[in-house]
Amino acid sequence: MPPQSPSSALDSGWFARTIERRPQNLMWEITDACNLRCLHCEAAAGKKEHDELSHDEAMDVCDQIVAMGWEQVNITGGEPLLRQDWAEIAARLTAGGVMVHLVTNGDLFRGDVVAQAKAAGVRTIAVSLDGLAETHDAIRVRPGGKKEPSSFAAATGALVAARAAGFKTVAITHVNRWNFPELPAMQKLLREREIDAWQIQLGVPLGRLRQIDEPYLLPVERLPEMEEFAAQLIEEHTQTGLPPAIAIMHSLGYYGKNEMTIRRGFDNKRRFFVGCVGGWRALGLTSDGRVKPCPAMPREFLVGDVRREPLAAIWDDQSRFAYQSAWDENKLEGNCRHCQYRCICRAGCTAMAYALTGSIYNNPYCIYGQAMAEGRVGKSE
Amino acid sequence: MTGYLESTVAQKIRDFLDDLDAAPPPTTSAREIEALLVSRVRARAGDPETRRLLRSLLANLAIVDPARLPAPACETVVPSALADELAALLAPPAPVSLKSKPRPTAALAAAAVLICGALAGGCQNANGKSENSPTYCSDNLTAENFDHRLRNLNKFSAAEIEGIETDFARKKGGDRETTIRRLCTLPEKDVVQFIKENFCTADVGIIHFEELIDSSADLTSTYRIAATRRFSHMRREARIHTIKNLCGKSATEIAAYVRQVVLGIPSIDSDHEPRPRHDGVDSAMRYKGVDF
Repeated sequence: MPPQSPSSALDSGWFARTIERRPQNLMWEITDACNLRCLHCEAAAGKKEHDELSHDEAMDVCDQIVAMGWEQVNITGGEPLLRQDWAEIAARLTAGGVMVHLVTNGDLFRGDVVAQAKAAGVRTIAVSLDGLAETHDAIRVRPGGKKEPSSFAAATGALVAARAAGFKTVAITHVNRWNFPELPAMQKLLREREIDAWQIQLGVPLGRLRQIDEPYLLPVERLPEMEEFAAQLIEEHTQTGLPPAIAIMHSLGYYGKNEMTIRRGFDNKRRFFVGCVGGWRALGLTSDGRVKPCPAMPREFLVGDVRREPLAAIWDDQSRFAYQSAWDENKLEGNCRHCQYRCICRAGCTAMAYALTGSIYNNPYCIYGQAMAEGRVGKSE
Repeated sequence: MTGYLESTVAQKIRDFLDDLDAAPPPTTSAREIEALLVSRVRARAGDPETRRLLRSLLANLAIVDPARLPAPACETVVPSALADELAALLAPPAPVSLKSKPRPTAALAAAAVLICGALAGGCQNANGKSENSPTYCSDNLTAENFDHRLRNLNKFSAAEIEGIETDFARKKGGDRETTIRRLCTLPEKDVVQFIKENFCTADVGIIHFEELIDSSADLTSTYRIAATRRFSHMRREARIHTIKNLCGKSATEIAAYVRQVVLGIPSIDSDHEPRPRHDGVDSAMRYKGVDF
């Protein structure tokens, strides 16, 4: 869609007019079963959902995804490798031309599994890495609190195995109070192992993260420091080409002094944050076939069920994605209400805003908002 | 494990409404949720289950610990003010307000002038006529007499009196005289009510505020609810000021005032665009080589 002139564009409809809607990134939680009980798991995964899509249903969904032209699918969970037919799902998608990324805790990614993923045409192996050994193991705990085997060893081992097998490798880190001081050391570790990319994000306080009984979330006042660190890594990668490349996810921001740097992404393009793309470029699919604009969003955001109607019918009905199509800047609250970027940013990550405040119109986890609150930058009226 | 994180008031209200099977959609803002809660409770204040859940919510609001919010700015609702309002709604129902009935201005005007001197002690020596004369009050159809009687009531603040006098001055001559005559016929206990019903600025009650903003089709019901909610928390002087700014205004003016002043929603002019803040971002917003 051709860009609008800025003066006429900065209103509630800026996003819908400016950002082309297309089926780009679908995140499919193929199972709720998980062999870990991570403290921050937003889905509170563990036991298998009794009503997960059957094999036949999953294959049918794969065909629908292909037919709709989704560019890429992130197969995730739970732990996706616990679902028996994960490789068939991946293969069905890649056969249809969809780029498939597998997101795993790494525990089971070894031996035959590596070969299965290769045969299925999986492009990327993304492994969760939430700190150095002690911190990672404290966060990514095993059922019953068992310490062994180390989930950190499994995660780093999986990344190395994936790298050796020729996959594109990504480490995914939820930054929090516990692992924030370890980020420089983690970068060094990833570089030593030649891991291609590092995806950095904040945890959304839902599910099990909501139950942690001590301070866990990164304090909002540390966000500028986090942004500065990320920008340094990105500049360094741009200049040297050394791994890892850095991608900052939508939960982290917004509009700090390094905004344009931290949004470059793995493809190193000029960007700035344009708000949540759930239901616009992205979609979440749960293990039992329900559809959400983004997997990080809670059940209140459900927009359909592939057992009841085709995925395309859900996607095509934009009225179901009211938080995008009927977004109203007049409802903004807190710092967001006075922000000059309000119609572009739209309160940042919607799942984060909702989980933090109960309103999609107020996101206090914001660099610019914090600066406004402290009087370092002006408010816009 | 109870969890370290505290829920915001909006999240607690969402849980409450969920328990009543009235969960608002996730696109509802905190302000709207608050207004929905008040309206829901008002509508079902007599329902035992609602009252039980509401007591639980009130207890929950009382233990808010801001230090355990993910960030201070998470909270946009003032829990104590909301709790006060909810507690008031839980109280036994008040007698039916006269304000809920149609304003009987025409009838009152037609029924004017039967008894004089009802404003006991109100007839003072203003112009040489005997103040004790039974007809003194209704014979003296001047603004001074009106002002004099108004102030002697000792029922209105200086700001309210100023507003009422402005209203009075706006009336046509005949209407002013009718008003004074009517005032003179009423027993003191009814005078305040009469003034409230006939002088827009004299009534700073919530129902009157609702009536004023209801006249504006430019305001959605959501904004009306939210504005009424805001108004209910205003101090008396702020209410007087607000009512003054609504009385006699057009629907468009009322809508603009409510949105911008009462609700504090900034007006956006069509040429609004971001001011330069960060190198790169603002130029990027002009779409030069940006890849979305």
